[in-house]
Amino acid sequence: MFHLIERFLPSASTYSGDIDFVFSLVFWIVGLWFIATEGVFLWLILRFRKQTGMKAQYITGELESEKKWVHWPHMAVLVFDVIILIAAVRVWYDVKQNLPPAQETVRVVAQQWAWSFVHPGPDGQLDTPDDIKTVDELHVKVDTLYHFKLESRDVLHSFSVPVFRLKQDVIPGRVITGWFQATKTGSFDIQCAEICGIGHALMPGRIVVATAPEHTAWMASQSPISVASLGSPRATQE
Amino acid sequence: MAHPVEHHAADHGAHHHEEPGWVRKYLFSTDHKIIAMQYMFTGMALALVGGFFAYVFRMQMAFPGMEVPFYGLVTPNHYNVLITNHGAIMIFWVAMPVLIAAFGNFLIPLMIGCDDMVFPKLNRLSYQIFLLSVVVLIASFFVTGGAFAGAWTMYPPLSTKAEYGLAPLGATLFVVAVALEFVAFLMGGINFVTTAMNSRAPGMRMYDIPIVVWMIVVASILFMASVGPLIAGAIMMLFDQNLGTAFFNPDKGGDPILWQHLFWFFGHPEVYVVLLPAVGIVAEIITVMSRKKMFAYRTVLYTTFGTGVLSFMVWAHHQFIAGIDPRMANIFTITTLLISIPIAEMMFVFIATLYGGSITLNTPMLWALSFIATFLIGGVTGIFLGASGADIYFHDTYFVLAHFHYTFFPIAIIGTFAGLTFWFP
Repeated sequence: MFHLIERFLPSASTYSGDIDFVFSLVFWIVGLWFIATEGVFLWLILRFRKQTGMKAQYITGELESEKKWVHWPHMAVLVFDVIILIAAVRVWYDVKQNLPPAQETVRVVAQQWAWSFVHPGPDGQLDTPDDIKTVDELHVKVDTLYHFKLESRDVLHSFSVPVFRLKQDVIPGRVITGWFQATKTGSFDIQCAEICGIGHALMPGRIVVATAPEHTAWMASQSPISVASLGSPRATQE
Repeated sequence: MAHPVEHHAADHGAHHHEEPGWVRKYLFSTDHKIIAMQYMFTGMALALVGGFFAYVFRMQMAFPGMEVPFYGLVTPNHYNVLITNHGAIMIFWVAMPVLIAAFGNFLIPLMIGCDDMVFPKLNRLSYQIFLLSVVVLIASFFVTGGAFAGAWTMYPPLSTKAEYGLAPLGATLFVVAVALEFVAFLMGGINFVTTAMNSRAPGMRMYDIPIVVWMIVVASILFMASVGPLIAGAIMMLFDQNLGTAFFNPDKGGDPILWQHLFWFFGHPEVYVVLLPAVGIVAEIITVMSRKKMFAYRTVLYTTFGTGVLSFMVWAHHQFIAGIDPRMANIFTITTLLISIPIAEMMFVFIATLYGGSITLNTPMLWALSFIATFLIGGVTGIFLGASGADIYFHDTYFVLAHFHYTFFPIAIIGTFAGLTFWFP
């Protein structure tokens, strides 16, 4: 009942369930309001359709006894708004405002029209000679808290990982830090979610979530690419 | 209620001048009804253009890579051009001229009982500048580099740097067209507010003004108060594009997010700028066709003002994940959810108006009722997006697109047809 999105899209991060919960909560609240409102609306149209021998009543709606019919529903809307607000802000705080300490950090660089990723090598530190650089494929360990540092080389992009329910715009001139912790292994989509020019649609990436031994094996299979070749990611890909 | 064939100005003009020729009567007229029809027909014509664009890119999505009938192959660049201009045309060149300018021009003087707008020549100039903006927009399709393809929101640096957007001239003309269009509606807005406040028939008090006129006036005030930052932003963008300044260019210390603030500070009140006239039209039709007085007229009026004030405090909900300070999102979530209250109240009032009525289900009434039924979907889906926690996922998805179209389709299409079938012969 509170995992509606999961029917369509797996939930693979620690906070994706919370975001699904907010969605489902709003879904049920506004869904019931919607059905009730449309129901009353249709009933009134039928009940007060033009009929012979029935005259319209003179109701100004200015009397308190009449106004209460719209006043109470809107007070109820306010109450539900507050419920939704509390749920939404709590999740927002966890995902975006709060930054739990990182176990690993990766750098995500967006450009027209590719993602490049810098993984810390076996030493676990970024900006050391053993960094592993890849294009369009991000490798992470399951159940590990990652910080990502988003950078853009040209225009706005948006780093979106639907199974994590994660999205963050990438802004040239800034480094934006966020976090995620994967809970499921597998290979999932990354998609640029902000129009960034002709190649916007051709800017997908993959995120590979692996267990720690698999991840170590993957690291061993990679030789650190020199920084210079990162300048032309398309070339390294082909 | 209103007859477009009436000639208020005829009585003082007829004695001294002969009947003006076709060109002067229909193209360079200062008569508010003719100007209303000019806006209406231009807007409707552009609705066909914008609708055709939507047809082309939806066909491309239905049958990817195949030739679209009456268009041909849709390249990635064409696709971006089509969605960009579909959005811009439908909002700036269809919804605004038809709902605000056409209905405002037509209804305000007739409903408050005066001869014409207070500034008829400004009114004519407003339409002429609007027409110029249409010409500039259409010209942008035929320049070297092609039309602008950076989405109707024009986020820099894609829109400001030629090497990213690949359409330097197209982008410049697009921004010029948008800025001109705003200038045109600024003039229209001055007229609407001044006329409704100063030229009412003797004895018509503030609380006697028909609700649709009130809503157009509030919409005009919202527009005039919000458009300044955007025109300034558009000029900064033109400077960035052509003179090498760096307002939005991070290489030289500018900030691309600044544009987003300027754009959405206008962009969100803009939603209510087109919503309120449509709601006003629907209110008039529902009261007439159910043979009832408007339920709680004053409450509706106050909620209209409330919506107007609140609409200035919600803009950053378009930017929750765009790189603003995450703490700011909490404030904007509160204001965004709060705005559901006046809008819900309006809907409840319309539904309450039906109670005890004698409802005639003719064409305008069916349009008006379908407005409410459909707009409710747009309203409730907005709650998902306003809730910041859910918006982390829903931002930039088809959910937003669907929400937006469920609000704008009732406003711009259903509202317009309701008004057209109700007032025009």
